[in-house]
Amino acid sequence: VTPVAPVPDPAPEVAVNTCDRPVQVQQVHLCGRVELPEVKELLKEWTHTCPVPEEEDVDQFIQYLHQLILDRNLETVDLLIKYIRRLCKELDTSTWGGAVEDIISSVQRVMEQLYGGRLKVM
Amino acid sequence: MASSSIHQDINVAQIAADIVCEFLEVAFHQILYIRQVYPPGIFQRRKKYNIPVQMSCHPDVNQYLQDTLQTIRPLVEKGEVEKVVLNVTNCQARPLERFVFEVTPPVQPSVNDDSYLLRLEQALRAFVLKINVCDSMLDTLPQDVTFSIHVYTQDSAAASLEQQQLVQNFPWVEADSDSLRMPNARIIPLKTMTSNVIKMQLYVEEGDKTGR
Amino acid sequence: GKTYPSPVEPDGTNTVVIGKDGKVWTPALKPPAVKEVVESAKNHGLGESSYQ
Repeated sequence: VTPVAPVPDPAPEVAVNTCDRPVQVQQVHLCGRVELPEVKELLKEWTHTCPVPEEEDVDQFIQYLHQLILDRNLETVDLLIKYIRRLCKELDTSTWGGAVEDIISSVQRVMEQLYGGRLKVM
Repeated sequence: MASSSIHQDINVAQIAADIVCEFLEVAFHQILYIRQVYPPGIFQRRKKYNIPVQMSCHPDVNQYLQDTLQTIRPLVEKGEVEKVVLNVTNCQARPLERFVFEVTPPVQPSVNDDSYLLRLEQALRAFVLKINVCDSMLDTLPQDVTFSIHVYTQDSAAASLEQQQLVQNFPWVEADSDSLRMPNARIIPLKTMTSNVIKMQLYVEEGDKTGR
Repeated sequence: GKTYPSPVEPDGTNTVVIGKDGKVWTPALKPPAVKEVVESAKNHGLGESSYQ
C-alpha cells in the first residue's frame, strides 16, 4: 500500500462567540482529525511521504494552528510544534526546515497579536 | 418548559462556579508550594481529585486565599470573569511569572450527562499534575518572592464586586498598570479543558527574572 | 520563508470577537509576608521545617 499525502480540505468556519445566541461550534480539525494522536499520525505521514512539503499543505496546517490559538488551546499548539520540529529534525532536509520555521514564525505572530507574548518553544 | 431550562442554567452556573473556585484554591496552594513562595514546612500533603496535593496550613495564607475566592465566586457564576492570574512577583511587586487561568462559560452548558463530574475530576487532576511539573519548564526564581492575584472581568462586574466587598469586608481595587506589565513575556501553555460545564485554559507567562 | 496571513489583523481587529473591554481587579490587602509567616509558623503549631 503506497502512503498518500493528505488531501487539503476547505478551512473550517471561524466560530464567532456572542453572548446573545448559542452558536454551533465546529470543532477545530486538521483534515477531519480532531484528537491529538490522529493529528500527530497525519503529520508523521505527511513528513514521511513528502520530501518537499506542498505550500498548500503547509498553509493548511498553519491555519489549523491559528484556529487552535483562537480556540484558546495553546497546549495543543505547543505540543504539535514540538512534534513537527522533532519529525523534521529526523528528516534533516532544508526544505522541511524552512517550512517548520515559517510555521513557527506564523504562530508566534498570532500569539503576539492575541496574547501579547510568544510561545516559549523549548 | 422555559422555566425549568432557566432553572437548569442557573444550576449549571452555580455548579461551575463551585468547581472552578475549589479548583483555583487547590491550584493556588500548589503553585505557592511548587514555586517556593512560602517555605515547604507550612504545607501539608492532602488528597484532591484523587491525587496528593500540597496545601498550606498557615491560617493567614489560607484566609487570604479564601477571601479572594469568596469575592470571585459570584462573578464566576455570572460569567463575568475572563481570567484569574496568580502573579509571582519580586518584593517591589514586579511580576516575574504569571499563572493565567482563562475561564470561559461553555457555549451550550448542560449537566445532562451523569458522568460529567468524573470526567471533570480527571481534567482538573491533569491541570494539577501539569502544575507539579511546570518548574522544569520555567527558569529559576530569585530568592525573595511574593505573590498577587489579579482578576480580569468585564466592565459589568464592577457592580457585583462592590456588592461583594460590602458583604465581605475584603476590599478590592483596580490593579495598577505597572503590576500588569511584563515585557518580552514568553508563554508556556500548561493545559486546556473543554467540558459541558466550563472551559478553562492554564498557561504561564514568564518574564525577565534577572535584574532588580 | 513565506509569510502566512494571520486571522488577527495588524491593527488589532479580527474576525473573531474577543473582548477588549474590561477591568483588572486585585485585593487591596497584600498577602501575608513570607517573613511573618515563618515567624508565626511556630505559634500555629507548624514544625521546625517551616523555617527556610
